[in-house]
Amino acid sequence: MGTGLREVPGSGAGRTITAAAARRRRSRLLAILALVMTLAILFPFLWIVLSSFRDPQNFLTLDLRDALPRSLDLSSYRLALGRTDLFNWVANSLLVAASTTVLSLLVSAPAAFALSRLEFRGKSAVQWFSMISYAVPSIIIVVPLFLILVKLGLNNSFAGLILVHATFTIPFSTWVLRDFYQSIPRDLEEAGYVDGAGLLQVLRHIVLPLSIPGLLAAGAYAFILSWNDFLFALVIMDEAAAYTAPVGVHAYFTGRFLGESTWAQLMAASSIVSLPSVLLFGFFQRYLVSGFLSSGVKG
Amino acid sequence: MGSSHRLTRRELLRRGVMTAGTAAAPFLDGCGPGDAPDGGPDRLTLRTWSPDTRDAALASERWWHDAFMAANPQLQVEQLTVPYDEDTVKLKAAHRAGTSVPDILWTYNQNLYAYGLEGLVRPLNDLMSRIGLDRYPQQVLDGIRVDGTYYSVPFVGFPFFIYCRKDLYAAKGLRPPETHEELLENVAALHDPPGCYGYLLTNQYIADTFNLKTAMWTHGAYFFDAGDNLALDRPATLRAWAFYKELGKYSPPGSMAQGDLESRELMLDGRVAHMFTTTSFAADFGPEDMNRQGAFAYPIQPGAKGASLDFNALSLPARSRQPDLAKEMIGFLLEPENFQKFLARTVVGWVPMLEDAWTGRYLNHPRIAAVREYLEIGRISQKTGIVSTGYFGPSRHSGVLIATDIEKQIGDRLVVFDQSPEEVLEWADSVLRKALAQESAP
Amino acid sequence: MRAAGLKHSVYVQIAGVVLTAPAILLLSLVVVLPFITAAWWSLSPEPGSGPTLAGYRWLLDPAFFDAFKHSLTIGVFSVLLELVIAIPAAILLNQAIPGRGFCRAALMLPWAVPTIAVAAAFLWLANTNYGLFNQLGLGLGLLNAPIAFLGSPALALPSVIVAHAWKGLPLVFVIILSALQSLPPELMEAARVDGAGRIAQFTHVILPHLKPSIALAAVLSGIYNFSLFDITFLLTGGGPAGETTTLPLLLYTQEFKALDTGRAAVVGVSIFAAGLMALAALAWSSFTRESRRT
Repeated sequence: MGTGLREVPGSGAGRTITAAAARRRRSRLLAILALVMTLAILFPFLWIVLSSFRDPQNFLTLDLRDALPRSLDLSSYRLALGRTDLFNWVANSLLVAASTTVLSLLVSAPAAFALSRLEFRGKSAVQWFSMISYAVPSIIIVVPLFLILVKLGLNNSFAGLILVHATFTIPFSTWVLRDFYQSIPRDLEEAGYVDGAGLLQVLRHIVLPLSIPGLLAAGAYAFILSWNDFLFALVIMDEAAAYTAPVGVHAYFTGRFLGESTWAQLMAASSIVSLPSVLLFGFFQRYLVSGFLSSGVKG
Repeated sequence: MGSSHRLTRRELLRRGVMTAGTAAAPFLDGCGPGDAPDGGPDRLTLRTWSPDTRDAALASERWWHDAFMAANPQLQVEQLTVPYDEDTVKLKAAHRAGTSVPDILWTYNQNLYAYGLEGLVRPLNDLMSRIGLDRYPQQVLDGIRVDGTYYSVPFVGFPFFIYCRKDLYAAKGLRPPETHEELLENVAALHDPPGCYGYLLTNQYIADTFNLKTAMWTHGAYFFDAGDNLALDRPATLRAWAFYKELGKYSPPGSMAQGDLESRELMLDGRVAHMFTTTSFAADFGPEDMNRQGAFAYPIQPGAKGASLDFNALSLPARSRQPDLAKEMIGFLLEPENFQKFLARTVVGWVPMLEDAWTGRYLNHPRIAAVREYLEIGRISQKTGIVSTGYFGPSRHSGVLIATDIEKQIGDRLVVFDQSPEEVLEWADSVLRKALAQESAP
Repeated sequence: MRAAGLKHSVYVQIAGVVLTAPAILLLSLVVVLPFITAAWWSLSPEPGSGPTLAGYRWLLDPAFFDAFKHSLTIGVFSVLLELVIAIPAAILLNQAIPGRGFCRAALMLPWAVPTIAVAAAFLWLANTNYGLFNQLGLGLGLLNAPIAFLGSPALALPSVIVAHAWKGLPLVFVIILSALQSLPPELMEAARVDGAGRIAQFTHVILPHLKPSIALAAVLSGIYNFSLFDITFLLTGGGPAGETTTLPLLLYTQEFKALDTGRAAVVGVSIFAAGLMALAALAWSSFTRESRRT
């Protein structure tokens, strides 16, 4: 991993070579076990991807021999992309999710820092306020929230959707980041203050560079929340060209005869819609995992 | 049609410009991009919401919009696909806010009662008389009218009837059934699990409960009587439910958890021998299917009502800004000549709800002629069919029935949970009584 | 220490307020204000009528009780399932084994798959007529008739729970793994020296150390699954016969089918209250823990 994660302590000195060999064998067995477990957990997703490469004309079958694609058949993708605005919807989703991530961090990180470092009046009230917000179920606020957005002139605009998504991430992101900051040794900051730096300088030159893994972890959470949302995107956006991927896909697949080729297209569309976030996770995973790890979310 | 229409339209257009201009003024500063009419008062935008994404549905809709725009060059029509069943969420939010409301709402019949009673859509009596009430079958008018008010303009419908395996009927020497008993006999005769089940009963969402509804109506069983009193506790209900439960015995595992659209594949695959669905199923038939799939109308007991008749309708949201223009646009679609052009392009199996559109020109259109056999059965079903606005036939209490999700629950209790009709009746009657009492409580 | 000096300065007071203000402002505007509006609607079912608690009588209705029961079942059992998988997985992937990075990354994937695709995957796998499970069962002769996973009274709720647990697994996994990372190696070594077997090490060292994280993961994920709408909606729509109707589904039906805003708000406020109670219990337990520690 290269992130300095601690491993379960190995042997002391003086073990025999056979013990080392036994340990290697054990580690290989564990690796196989881990791989099997991982594949089992990944399976539902792998299965839609595999299915998306099947022949859309022979998609619904009970014959086990047809369960796996015989070749990389891209017809389902051609059908799905030929009839939908999928790329545009995915692009909208990416724009909204990326902006949500940035806004969420801009708001959550300073709050989290204050909560972890500063003793100010009202601190526990802020924590409680954020916690209470986490417990508000989102469907109940759809209609009243829309009224507020209209008053602000933010309905039917990505800005409005981003604002909503980013706000929903604040309680959790603040929580993760607060614990993350708490894991950063205070001595470093103290040293900064002793050297005569002010709070802002300490933030910029000491805290920020150290908190990148934590920011990535909180950012990933924000991205995912935005990427998943269906209800608010549906209610807030008013133009087909501005639909996000979940709304577009849902609109396209409800109310239609679910025949062979529709199922196949659904698999292809689901794969395409998942691709950007899966790639992003794959790319950032080592930072992500270590970000959550160092944050040591411990309650 | 005549030039008089055209004049009216221009007139209305002018009036629409003025209304929209004044209505939009307070919103122009500080409102989202969706609110300002595009291009100022010279160019008016009418916005529509519609749910269906089938190629033909989109194509016919586009034709309608283009044709109306061609007749009214100052006008822009913009369509937004709002998924089936999700339009209520969007409409409710827009209604409360008084903005982002579409000018025309294309909805499935299921919501229309509730929309009307809750004030989400406008009364359309004037538009209906302008289109011509006499163009609709009487039972359709009776079905969509609440306390003398029409809230929607039905245009295409999907009558329900039973598709059957023509080839198996021939092989076994069966005749299309005329009574419920004969239907059960035929179903039993073709029941050969696990290869082919006798009947396909679906009951997934509240919208998929037409099997239960039809079993009840054709037995003369209703949730409410003509005086809108709860009328479930009758022998006819028990007979209908026993019949429904019997059909369930011949239905493949899991069918009750599936939707109609999803289950049609089983019928095409030859894994069930009967399926009760709409005219639009025929649109999915290939040449081989034509040879295999037969059709007949659902049996009706003497004196009882007919099968479920679902439809698409156009409504005007209560807080839309350009109602006159929207009415004009709907009137334009239903002018006989235009409506024929629309029908020729739309989903095969979306049959006209207006009597005068069932012309030779319609039935002989190449797309329609291919499946004419099925649409003719649909026509028979349509004539006796019951428009099920709000699911339950005309009743002020449809909201209670929707809120309790009772129809789906009755179906599931009878078939999936294998409860007796008496047991289910006792339960349903008490749930409904309680819900009605709460409804009328202050 | 400078920090001690900072503590009472006006500068810190101002910084605290300034840094947290945007978060509080946004939460107030986007979450709390709409929620108060909805709660107000729950008190005045008819526009124009005075506030009344009458709407809350509906909480005694069996429909509400059943939905509450289903939500609670989904919340509790999906979290249990997540923990049963995440704890061993985290222990396994906390060891020095080849491919550890890949496996850790892969376990995060369900998070990255949008809910709509999660639903598509489970609908497809569990499909009665053409899904893989039934294809395998029938093909290998294990089944005589296909199983309706999402349509049978016995299996619908468990199937929904599995889907929730799948989607929620990454969060729990990450929290547990991070806690394992902070387990002092000396503790494990001491246990080993004392001759504790693997099971004893787990029950006496690892588990006590994980307890607070398990509580946190359980509450966060539990609240999430308790109040999640879309997975159940897309998989079963609440059926069969309401066996998987959850509180959020009930809210949806009341608000957007029956168009009964007051009643929907009653359900929403109840979901909120339940979540708040769970959070308060968590905060209280971590508070008492901390005070014991000092």
